[in-house]
Amino acid sequence: MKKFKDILYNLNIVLAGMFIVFQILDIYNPTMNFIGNNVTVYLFFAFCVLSIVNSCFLLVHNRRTNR
Amino acid sequence: MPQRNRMLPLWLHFAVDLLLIAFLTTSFYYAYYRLPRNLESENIVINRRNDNHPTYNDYSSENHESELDKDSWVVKFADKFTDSLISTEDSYTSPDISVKLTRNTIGSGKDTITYYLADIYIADIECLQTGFAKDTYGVGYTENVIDMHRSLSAILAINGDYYGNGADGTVIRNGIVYRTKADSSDICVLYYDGTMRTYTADKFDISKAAKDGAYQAWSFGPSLLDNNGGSLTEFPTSRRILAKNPRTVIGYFEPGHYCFVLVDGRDTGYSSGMTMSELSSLMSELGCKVAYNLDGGQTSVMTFIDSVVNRPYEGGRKVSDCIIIKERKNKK
Repeated sequence: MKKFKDILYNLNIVLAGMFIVFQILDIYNPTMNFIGNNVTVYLFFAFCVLSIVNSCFLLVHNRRTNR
Repeated sequence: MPQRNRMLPLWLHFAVDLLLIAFLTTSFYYAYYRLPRNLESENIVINRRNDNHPTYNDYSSENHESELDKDSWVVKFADKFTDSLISTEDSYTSPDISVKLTRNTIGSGKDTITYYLADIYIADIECLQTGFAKDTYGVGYTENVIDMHRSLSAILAINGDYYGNGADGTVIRNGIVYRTKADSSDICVLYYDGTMRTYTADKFDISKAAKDGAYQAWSFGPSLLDNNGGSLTEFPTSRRILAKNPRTVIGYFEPGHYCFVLVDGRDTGYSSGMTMSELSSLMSELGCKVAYNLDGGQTSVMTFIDSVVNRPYEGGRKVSDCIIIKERKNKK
């Protein structure tokens, strides 16, 4: 479970990093539409889901630690 | 004694993540934007109707001027065309086409700007055409403008809107609708009747454009002039795009009379490029009623007869489409 969580945390970092790069590229070349194209829309959805899952893990962990 | 779990140091975690970010971003870029793949075309044909150009009559040596409608472009611009083909270093005239190419320089020193103006008169709208790289509608298919110029037997060519850079943006080429899904950019439509109009994305109606006889449509922009042909100072695009850059523009004066403008840039002393405001002012001064910005920067290339006319930044780049002037294939 710990390894699985580690993978999720790293995946979240990777997806966030990718979107930062896409955002920068869109500033330089808005016509290529890195953020809003058919594929990145799904990637962004995955990123949002991962963020929620990881935040839930963190909340549960914090509650257990505080008991 | 229990074995301690070996954990990677934190810095290594982050290093691996950074490498993954670089690898996945690059892979996505190449897979989505560079690997050749055909796009599904909507293949809606917009036929040229006689009433799209109600005053046009075919011109041949057998026709007499008296038989030609006085409003036809052949008669209207008779002083621009010649009975036989005359081609020089900076001009081309024939019974159907007149192109006059001028190189212009404004400013001095590091503010020097060099631009090329191709003043175009055509006797028939089908003398202005568009071409796809490798004759294929898709992403990742690119070709140099000069190669497309030669394969299409063009007289004059400029780069287009680089539609292949993405999956969105209205694409109508030579009367065929390939893509109706608009993006947020301004759209320029050239109709069979020779008129040219620009639209913001929210005001563009593809059905109405098709009904009105849309012949070509480009999605890049922005539109450079207001409804009265006056220059603009504000444009809906990023600061980097607004800055001085090489530019490609298509301009419209009246049906049958157009211009291509190519501004060189990023070459201090020869040409520093134009801001969007400067470009707008230029097109207004030239007398255009409509002017539309196409893909610029390294993409900006103009070819005439059989050579590249301008000095493309870093030699130019391969592009997905072009706009050409050429002789009509079959004259009745």
